[in-house]
Amino acid sequence: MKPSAFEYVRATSVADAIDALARHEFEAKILAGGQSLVPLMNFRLAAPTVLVDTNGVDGLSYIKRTNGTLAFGAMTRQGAIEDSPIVAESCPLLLEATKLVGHRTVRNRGTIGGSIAHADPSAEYPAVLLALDGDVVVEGASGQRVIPASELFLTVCTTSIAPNELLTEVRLPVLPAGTGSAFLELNRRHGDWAIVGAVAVVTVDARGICEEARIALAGVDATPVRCHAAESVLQGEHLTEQVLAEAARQCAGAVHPGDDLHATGDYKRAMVRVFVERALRLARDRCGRIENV
Amino acid sequence: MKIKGESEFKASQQRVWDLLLDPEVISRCIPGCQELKAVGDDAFEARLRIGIGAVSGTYEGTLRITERTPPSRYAMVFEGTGRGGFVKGSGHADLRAEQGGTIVAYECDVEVGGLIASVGQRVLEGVSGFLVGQMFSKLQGFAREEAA
Amino acid sequence: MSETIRVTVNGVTYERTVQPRKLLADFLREDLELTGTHVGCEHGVCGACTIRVNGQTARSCLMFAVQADGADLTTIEGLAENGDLSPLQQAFWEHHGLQCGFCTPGMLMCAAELLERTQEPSESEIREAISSVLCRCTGYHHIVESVKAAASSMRGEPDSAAV
Repeated sequence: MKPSAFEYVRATSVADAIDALARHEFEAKILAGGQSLVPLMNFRLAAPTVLVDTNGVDGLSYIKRTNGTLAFGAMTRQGAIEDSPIVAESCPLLLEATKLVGHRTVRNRGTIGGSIAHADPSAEYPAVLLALDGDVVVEGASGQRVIPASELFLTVCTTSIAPNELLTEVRLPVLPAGTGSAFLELNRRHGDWAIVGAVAVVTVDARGICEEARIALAGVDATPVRCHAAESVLQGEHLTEQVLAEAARQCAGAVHPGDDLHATGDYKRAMVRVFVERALRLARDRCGRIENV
Repeated sequence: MKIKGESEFKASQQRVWDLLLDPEVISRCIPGCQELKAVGDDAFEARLRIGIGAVSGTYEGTLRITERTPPSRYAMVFEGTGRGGFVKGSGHADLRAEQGGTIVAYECDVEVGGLIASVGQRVLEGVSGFLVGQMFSKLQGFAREEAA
Repeated sequence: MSETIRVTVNGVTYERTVQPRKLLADFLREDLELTGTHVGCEHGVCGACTIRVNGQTARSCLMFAVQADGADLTTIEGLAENGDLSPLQQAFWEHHGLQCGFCTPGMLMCAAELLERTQEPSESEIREAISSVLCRCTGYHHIVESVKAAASSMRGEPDSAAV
């Protein structure tokens, strides 16, 4: 058999899962959609001695909109997000990102909580969470806490969620009217990891001036990264081609990706400039106030 | 793969030198270090348990100090193996006094092979940087305690 | 430590005892002797082992058999009824939708899911739906033609593309 032997715990409630994590601490892993963890186990790169399966936990799969916040139960499948009219209306950025996650067959199993807790630096959902300043809710034996995206991602596949805590909810703010967004990514084949992923979100007022801009990148560092310097280039400005180009140039200057099998660091940097510029243009054109630009 | 960086200590250069070359201190600062024991002059054996995300493993290896110029420079070679593959490499650290504190500039050349390298190539640099950063922040904590 | 599970596969309920680490793909092939589900890469890249779990496609190499306890599964063996090929299988036959046949179970399960979601898929929707399965013969063109033909025959249209 491919994976190493493990003890299987079928959790039926959040309390159940937390209890199993507390008993096994560093030896246990949560099994959510399994689309990243099981390949690692099949390679025996990961060999957890206890797997806590949260697929049978009631009440962890939902999409709710309340008071300007979209809340997702951690076990909400990416496929359910793709099909959700609430997401299409309230967070088109998440819908666009979702369609870039693997393939439909993968999204049928993969979950929003699993993708964020796994924290692959090339993955789409962590970049969206960071771009939108979302939060995650985690629960452990000592209670519940909320971690803002800016404090969540520590390094490759490592978050500030403690080994005995379970991610239960992901929260994204609903963006104001006049907001446009885009998620673009460079990869070798559709469904592959992003060599470079660019998230752009702009909010433009009735006069066509950018009130707020958010740019996040995937695939260029050990975690997803925000480009605050480039964002400030856009704020308070008319989003002309020159302004967008300058922001994209700032992004490329701010990152130092390494070489890997797929691309050299220099190439990735060049592509950061290209993809940020394209994403910004698309976000601007989608904000619904293009006639004022 | 190259790992390089600088770390700033609020302690005298001699104090930092002593800390960096004290096996007892180092073993408590290396993330996941389960054992570090001297096996002769300037040679050590270590056992580390490293976990990044779902991937964790135990690595055993040796480290030998090849150059020692107190209190400003030392160099070392190291190698280790574990279930996921092997690491070997060399590195050096330069200490200099600056504004009442000490700056440690380090540089390592690391070769990683085996399964972990073929599958995890995309992530190795980030992980190494994170682990080295964790070690230095613990060392800085030691230096602060000593100073207090 | 083993667990006893009950799964329904193609309408037949089985009860078996498995180790937790047994992959669902291996369970189907070894324990239930349903070898129509093919195992290629065994780490979620090739898609040959794709099956339906409670109606949705899933890679059976990325699930453990214990997770299928209580689930309703469909494998390629469940497509034909009483020995008659389904319209989708028939179209693959007629339009040369398979060469070596290794990826075919995955292609068929993905195409079946697509044709339940939409009766008139566009070519790009078809390509998107089968994108999670790799064909080493690179026979994608005929596979896409087969799915198109299956869609039109399921809509009751005469098969204009038949050769």
